[in-house]
Amino acid sequence: MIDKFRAKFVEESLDNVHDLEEALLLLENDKGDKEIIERIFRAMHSLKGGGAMFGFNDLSEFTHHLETVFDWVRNGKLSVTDDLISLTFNAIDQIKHFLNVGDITDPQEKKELNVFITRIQQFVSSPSVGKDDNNISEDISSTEDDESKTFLVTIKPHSNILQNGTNPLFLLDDLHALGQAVVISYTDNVPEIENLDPESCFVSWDVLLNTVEPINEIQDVFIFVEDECDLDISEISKGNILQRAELKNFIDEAVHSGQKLSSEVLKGISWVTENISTEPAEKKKVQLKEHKISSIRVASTKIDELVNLVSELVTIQAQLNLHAENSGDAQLVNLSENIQKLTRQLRDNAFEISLIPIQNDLMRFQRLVRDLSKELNKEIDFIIEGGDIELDKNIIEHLTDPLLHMIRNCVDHGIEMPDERIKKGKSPKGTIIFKAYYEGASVIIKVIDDGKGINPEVIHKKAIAKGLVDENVELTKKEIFDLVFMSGFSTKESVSDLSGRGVGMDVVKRKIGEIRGEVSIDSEPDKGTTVTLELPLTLSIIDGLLVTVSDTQYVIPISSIEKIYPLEVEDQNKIFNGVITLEGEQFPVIDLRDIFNEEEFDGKKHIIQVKFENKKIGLIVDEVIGEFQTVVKPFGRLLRDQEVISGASIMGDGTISMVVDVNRLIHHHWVQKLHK
Amino acid sequence: MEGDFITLISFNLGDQVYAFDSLQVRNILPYEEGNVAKVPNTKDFILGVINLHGNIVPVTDLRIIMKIADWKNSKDTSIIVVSPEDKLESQFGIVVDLVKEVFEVENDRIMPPSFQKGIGLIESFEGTVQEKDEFVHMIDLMHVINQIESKNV
Repeated sequence: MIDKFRAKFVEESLDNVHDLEEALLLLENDKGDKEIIERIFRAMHSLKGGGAMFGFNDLSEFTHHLETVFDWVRNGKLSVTDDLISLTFNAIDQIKHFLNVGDITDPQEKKELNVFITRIQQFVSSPSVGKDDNNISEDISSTEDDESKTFLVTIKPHSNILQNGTNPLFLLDDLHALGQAVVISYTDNVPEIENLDPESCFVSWDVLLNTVEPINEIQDVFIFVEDECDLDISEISKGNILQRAELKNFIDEAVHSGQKLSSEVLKGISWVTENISTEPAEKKKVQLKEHKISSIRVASTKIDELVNLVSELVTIQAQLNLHAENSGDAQLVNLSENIQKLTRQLRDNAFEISLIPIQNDLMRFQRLVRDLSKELNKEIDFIIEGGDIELDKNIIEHLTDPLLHMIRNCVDHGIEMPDERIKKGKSPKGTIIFKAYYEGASVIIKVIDDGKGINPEVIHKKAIAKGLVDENVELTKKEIFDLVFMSGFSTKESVSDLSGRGVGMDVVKRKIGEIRGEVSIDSEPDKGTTVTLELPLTLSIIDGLLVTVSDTQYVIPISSIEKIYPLEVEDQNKIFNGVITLEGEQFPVIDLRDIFNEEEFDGKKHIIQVKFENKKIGLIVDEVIGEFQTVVKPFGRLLRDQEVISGASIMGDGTISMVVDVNRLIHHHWVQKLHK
Repeated sequence: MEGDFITLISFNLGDQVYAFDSLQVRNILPYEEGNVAKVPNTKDFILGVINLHGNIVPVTDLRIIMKIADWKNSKDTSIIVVSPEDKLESQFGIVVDLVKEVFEVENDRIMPPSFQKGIGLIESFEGTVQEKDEFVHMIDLMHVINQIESKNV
């Protein structure tokens, strides 16, 4: 059970970390923005609190130190510097590490962690204000706020408060978050250790709180524990009196004499307000209240289920339509058409839900560019256009690695050093533009840099030297750039710490190919390079060509098809040794009847010419029925080892056709041949 | 434990009655050959896949798995759709001659299997129950899955 909660916590914390990173990047551009600082502080605060609750103790402690620093920043005691931002970025990485592994056990790592914490603490290394003997802890205040009020909050938890999982200390934290607070704790009721019941609470508190928030904000802190503690909140004075010597004396006296603070007595003291600054303070926003729920978290399996149900509805709707038209009943046809309209809208909506904005990933790229450029002493602007473009979550999952690789390439090899850029007459600051937009049923993503570019001649020469192309063949510029994607083109000469770990653009092409996307490159020497990805909107819907082999229907994805030829009976003797000569071309053919172990057939057939790793291969089928847009569904567990069929698709009339995985089919065929 | 019972679904294969745990049954459909789409390159006991509420569900024939001689399809021939481990992706259909009934049986009424040998690909039985003058042989679904998966390569 607890594991489940922990997992949930990690998931939520990753969101918090994500938020933190985003805010930090913003802060880097506008170091004085109070709202961003507040956002950072809040994210840290939730990490700290949650961490302690779910047993991430190191995380909690670590974040606590970080939070202290940002508390100072927030109160204007510390200003935001580049050092601080870099340190915080490192700290975020550390937090991610905690979330991955939990508490640190390795002694070496522990040592490093302590060094890190010390570094954080150095930011707040002015004389520390600890708890002194009479149990008073306090926040230092430097400014007084004329709109604020000071309250006395008396909290007396019932002894059973802990049994509900409430940690009263969090309540104190929450009070601290509202403003400045002085906490006096009463521990007189705590019994001797042998009589101590660890599940009961014996401590009570008086909190003197200075805040600009109204009294009901304070009450809200206790909203969940109202029945589990005696609570009294009363206003003592306007303005901030926490730093007044009279109050300190008063508290000291009260503590020494063992008396509790009484609001009557405190109110009775006249707090002269002449010291209070008259400058109007910036009004703090009530962040919590304004946080509207703009999105809800839903398990992705539920979305899949929804999409499934909608596809089924679409299928049945098609049957209904057919039936209505055949029946000739005008009213039925009318109804069926109305349902069809609704079904279409429902389908579009359901598919839209399963899309997620590309934005979530972009953060990582922004961070990558920032870190890499610092490391390489380059100056780079990373500009994002179209971050709100949405893609199927499965596509986004496949996209991250290739994009990381591409952007790394830009930073590492594309953008030149600042002095080199000045020599070329460019701005010393390089630019990488990430651009995404819709084009028809596709999404186009471009990564554009204004770096040194690629000289096509260099590529051509390199490809010739590697024996990838023939010296005498003339190639267009586009064809030359396509050579970059051939496996074996990337060299290990250029292995650097950052990109080119022996992985080249051929891997990018393959990865993008897996999600049925296309990659292309264009470049102008000294002007820059553009890498373009063309991606389908969703993986589950494909455009397919419906064909038959024997009495089974198959769908071949249109994206891999080049041409379709009819194959008359008299032409079938043109096939010799597995190769056909057609229209002046020779290419190998594979008979699908052979692959699917069907009987031989002598009638008219068709050849579907498909692309396979730069080669053309013909697939022989019986009939070509037509082009359809279909939803690909996975086979169940019993058929998961199926090699050449990637899934099944339900047609409009409810029948099922098999979706062919062309690459695996060809691969499978050749492997089988080798074994024979 | 005494007094505890399980719920079984019983069906006919040839002239014998078999049963398995009914909690894993999701659906019972009449078997119509036209609704089952053949999947190429599979073993003979995999009949193909059906469209069940928009999901693709593989269908196996228990009569072929148990190597029952001369069976015929009739209007009683049915597909029992089961979902072991309660996962959508592990759903599959089992073709049987006739679905009889669902009944509860107290654990202490389950006797050791009377069949000492396996039948076809089914190597062992879970137990035997006497229900209304008939002997019902209990089959473990997970065993069926394991057998299919090991033979399906």
